[in-house]
Amino acid sequence: MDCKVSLFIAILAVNRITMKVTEPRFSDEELVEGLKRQDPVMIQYLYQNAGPMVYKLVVNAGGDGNDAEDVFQEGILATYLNIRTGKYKLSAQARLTTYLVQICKYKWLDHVKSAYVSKNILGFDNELLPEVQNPDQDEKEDQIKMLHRCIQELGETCRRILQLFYWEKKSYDEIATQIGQTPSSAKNQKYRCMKKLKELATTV
Amino acid sequence: MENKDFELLEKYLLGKMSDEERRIFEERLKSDADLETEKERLEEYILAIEYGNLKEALSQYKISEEEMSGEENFSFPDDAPADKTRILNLRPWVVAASVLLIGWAGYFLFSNLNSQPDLHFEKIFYSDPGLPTMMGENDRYLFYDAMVDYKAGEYEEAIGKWSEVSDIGRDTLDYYIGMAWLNLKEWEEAEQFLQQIPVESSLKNKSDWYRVRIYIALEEYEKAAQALEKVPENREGYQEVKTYLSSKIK
Repeated sequence: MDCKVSLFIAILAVNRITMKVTEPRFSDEELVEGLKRQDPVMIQYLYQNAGPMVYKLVVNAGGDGNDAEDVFQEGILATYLNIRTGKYKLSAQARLTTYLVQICKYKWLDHVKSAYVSKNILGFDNELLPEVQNPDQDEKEDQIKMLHRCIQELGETCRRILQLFYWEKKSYDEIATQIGQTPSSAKNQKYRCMKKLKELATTV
Repeated sequence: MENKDFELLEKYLLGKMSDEERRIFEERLKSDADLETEKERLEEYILAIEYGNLKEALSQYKISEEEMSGEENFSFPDDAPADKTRILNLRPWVVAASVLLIGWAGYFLFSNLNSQPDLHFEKIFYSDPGLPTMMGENDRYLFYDAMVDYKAGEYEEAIGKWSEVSDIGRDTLDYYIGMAWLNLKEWEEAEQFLQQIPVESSLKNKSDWYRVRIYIALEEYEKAAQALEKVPENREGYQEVKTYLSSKIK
């Protein structure tokens, strides 16, 4: 391997080269469709192109790298929900990456605000931040987050079955193979999981 | 709701109906309020499943440090050039140095992966980011001052300050002192503080989780498995750790 590398370096050293680097750039349509599919290429693209802006935004506002990662993750999740529910609409004025950064900005403001609220609840002082209006923090997102927590409570097997059926759109035969049950058991199990989910969701 | 109708709803929402079936079903939806309500409910459940799937996937991504190194990368995307390619004229020595660097990094990574099979646990047991720091004029200044040190990676400094704090809950102090020791990879010290956290504390679950990390580092797998039993199963990375411990205990 070392010989190959040396040879390669030698070739480069005697030839001035021009490297053509192709950078994939995606249209908003491609990004939206890709995010709907949860396409890893699109996710990576968003991390590379919008992530550093959010990082800088959070760090400059007193947060750290972990805060930036959390805020960015929440921003992508909120953007995904807004795409899926039709709240985000394609337009030349609102590019998806700009929209995502804006959502992250609101998420960070919410985070800072909640830290101040905690501070007041704990009785440190009576100072209150001005109200931060976040147009993207809506009931739908809260509802989905609540349901997500309920799904987490169902346990690993249920989560897997629901994921296979509703996200990966597998048949009962395929699910049965993956979880080591018969197709009818997989179907019954999925029925029980959904029943439990409904119970949990109505009691929260 | 009848099982048959529920299955039809699933078929509809998962896009498995023919055009004709879809048309008939949509007619039914218009006239059947209960069916419409159930459809909206199932839509939300499916969305929550998708949300969970994406959240799990996102845990594998990090904002690229490489992209953050250049100030020009922080311009808003609207300002970015629209052309799809760009030409880079690279001097041979730059390319040669890059190749060497990549080769060295690859070798380093490869040798590390071989020598540290537990490396991915650093991702699972990611470091607690600490509390938001509030440096106002309050009597808990020292606690938050230490939190700033903690966030900056000055763990010994933070431990020193926290050891002098008395106006913060004991469990909070024990937890963060423990986490600071853990970040220093002083496993025994970390364990000593984390195991003191009482059951009624809201930090108990987190402390048990990080105790699992400590016991893994100390290769005390039985103790790690015992600590893991106290951690809720829905904790991110739980199953991975459980599988890992099962393989170690066999």
